[in-house]
Amino acid sequence: MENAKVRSAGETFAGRGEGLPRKKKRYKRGDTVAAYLCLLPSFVLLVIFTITPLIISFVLGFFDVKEYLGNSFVGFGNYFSVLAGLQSAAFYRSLLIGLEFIAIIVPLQLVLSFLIASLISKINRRYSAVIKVCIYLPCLLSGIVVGSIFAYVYNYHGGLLNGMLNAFGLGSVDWTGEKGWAIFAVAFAAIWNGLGYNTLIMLGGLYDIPTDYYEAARLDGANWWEQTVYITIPSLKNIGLYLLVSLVVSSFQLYEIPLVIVGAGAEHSVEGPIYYLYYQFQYSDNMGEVYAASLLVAVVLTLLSSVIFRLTSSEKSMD
Amino acid sequence: MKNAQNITAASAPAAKRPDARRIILRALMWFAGAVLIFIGLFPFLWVVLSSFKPLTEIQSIRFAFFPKKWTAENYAALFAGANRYFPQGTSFLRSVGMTLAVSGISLVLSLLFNSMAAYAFARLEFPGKKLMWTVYAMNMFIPNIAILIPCYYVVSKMGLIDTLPALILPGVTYIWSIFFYRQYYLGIPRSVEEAALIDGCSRLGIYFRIFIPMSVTPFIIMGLSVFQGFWNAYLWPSMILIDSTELFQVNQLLAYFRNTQGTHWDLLLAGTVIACIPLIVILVIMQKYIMQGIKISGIK
Repeated sequence: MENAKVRSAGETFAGRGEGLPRKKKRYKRGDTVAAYLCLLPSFVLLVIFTITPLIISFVLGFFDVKEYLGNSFVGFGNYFSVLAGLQSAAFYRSLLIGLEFIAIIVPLQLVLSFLIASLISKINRRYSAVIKVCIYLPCLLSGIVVGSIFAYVYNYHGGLLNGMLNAFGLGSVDWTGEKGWAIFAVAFAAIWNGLGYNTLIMLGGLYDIPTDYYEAARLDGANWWEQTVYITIPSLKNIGLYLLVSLVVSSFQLYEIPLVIVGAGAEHSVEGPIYYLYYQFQYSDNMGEVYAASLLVAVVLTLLSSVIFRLTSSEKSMD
Repeated sequence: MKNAQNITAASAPAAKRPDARRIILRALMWFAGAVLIFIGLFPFLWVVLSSFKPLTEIQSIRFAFFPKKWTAENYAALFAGANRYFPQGTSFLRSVGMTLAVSGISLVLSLLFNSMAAYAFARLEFPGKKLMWTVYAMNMFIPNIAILIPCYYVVSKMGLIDTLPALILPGVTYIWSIFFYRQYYLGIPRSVEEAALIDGCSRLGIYFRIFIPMSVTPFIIMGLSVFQGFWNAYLWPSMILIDSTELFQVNQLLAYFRNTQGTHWDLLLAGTVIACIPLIVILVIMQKYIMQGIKISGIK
């Protein structure tokens, strides 16, 4: 008994000892109040417009949500019908179209931006400043504006592309109406839209490579090609990875450019995941299914970027 | 340095021919640079030129680069106000004003709210700081697409469909900008605010009197991309503006000019050009900050 008492006294003493040197007082009241006041607006908005929607789509994804009949629990029923139900073909098709955009846009964008960046890095400052501004201009424009510009470029009558073909004696092509061409027409517009940004990021990476690397390589007699393969490309690895992931994510989610250029034409061949979700959002009679679908698309996106990270980091371990 | 000169001197024997080669190379570079400028500007320039063609020329079977007959009638039609080509209740000028208003209010709120949060994370100690930081950081990894449609549900439950706040509020908290401001504030030496603290200035007072005036550069850099995002918005406004055409954003009107019923090329081309003007003005005036912003976005 006594022992226990002593021990507890010791404990309280030790506890107090820890607490004493103003550890609890580390937070000044004024600071705490000020901090919560500062965080309040952004946090409230974050909770209302990001966290709540996320929770809602998790929860309601398990419900049959009818506008006037109320909700009924269906378990994984919504996920099942998105992945294997009547509408599943449309879902997979939209994912596939997203992947097609990735396959066309990402490699071209990476190669072109690398080539253009290495070109600009060799041009003198004043001229390259002008070039930078000019190639960055398209990146500022909205998807709708880029879409409108290229809708007119591809226009059957009076369009730039057919006009040039006709000038060479070739016939006009229905770029946005034919299934085979439409996706390339969209991809080209998307590349024009994003090229400047990617190039400037690449260029930043190029400028960061110490010039003595190249001097050393030149001393060893390395030619331009060898310098590029052994110095430039390995040094751009991190930036390349960042661009790769952001390009994959943005190409997968192309929406406004195909919407304006092609619309529902070309046998629905440019309707990616967002197109699919928006369509379901407008016409589905069970919103639960739409929430499930949007979570699934988000999962696919996350998987895509984590696969890229996995692949590139395994490459790293091989080095 | 001397070494380097020696080396170039040593490799000089073949120097005579490389001189000619270098000139050709430089000319090629200039040419390639011109091609790049051409690629960047050409489609846009052509649309600008075409917006001055009369409608018959825009759709003419025979392609022409320059207008045969210059006319401003497309712009006149665009700004003429409501007519049958517009959704009822709006005009182009009105939607430009509305978009500017939305972008402007959002810009102010975004700069203020996010930098306040950044200040708390950078300078203040408070219980739950780590947890809060984790919550904010985790939101960076939520793909937008997961939130878009349920966010509509939230907005409709709040009764905000077809209202201005619904256009503005969901986009205000911008985690990446909080990270950016915080990084910037961590770089400001503490001595700057110590004197003010001793003088009895409150923490909020320090934020308003010392930190905001010091934030001009990060505010411009972030503000540009915030403004661009709201000026260019299409998907979210098209979801939540159903009946209130008077709130229509510029990009919504442009998309309306090219819809399933057909394309009003005259309005679309002129509208496209107008929609680009604020962005081009910003690019020309603020290019230094834009280039800085790109550099920073590459580091993230």
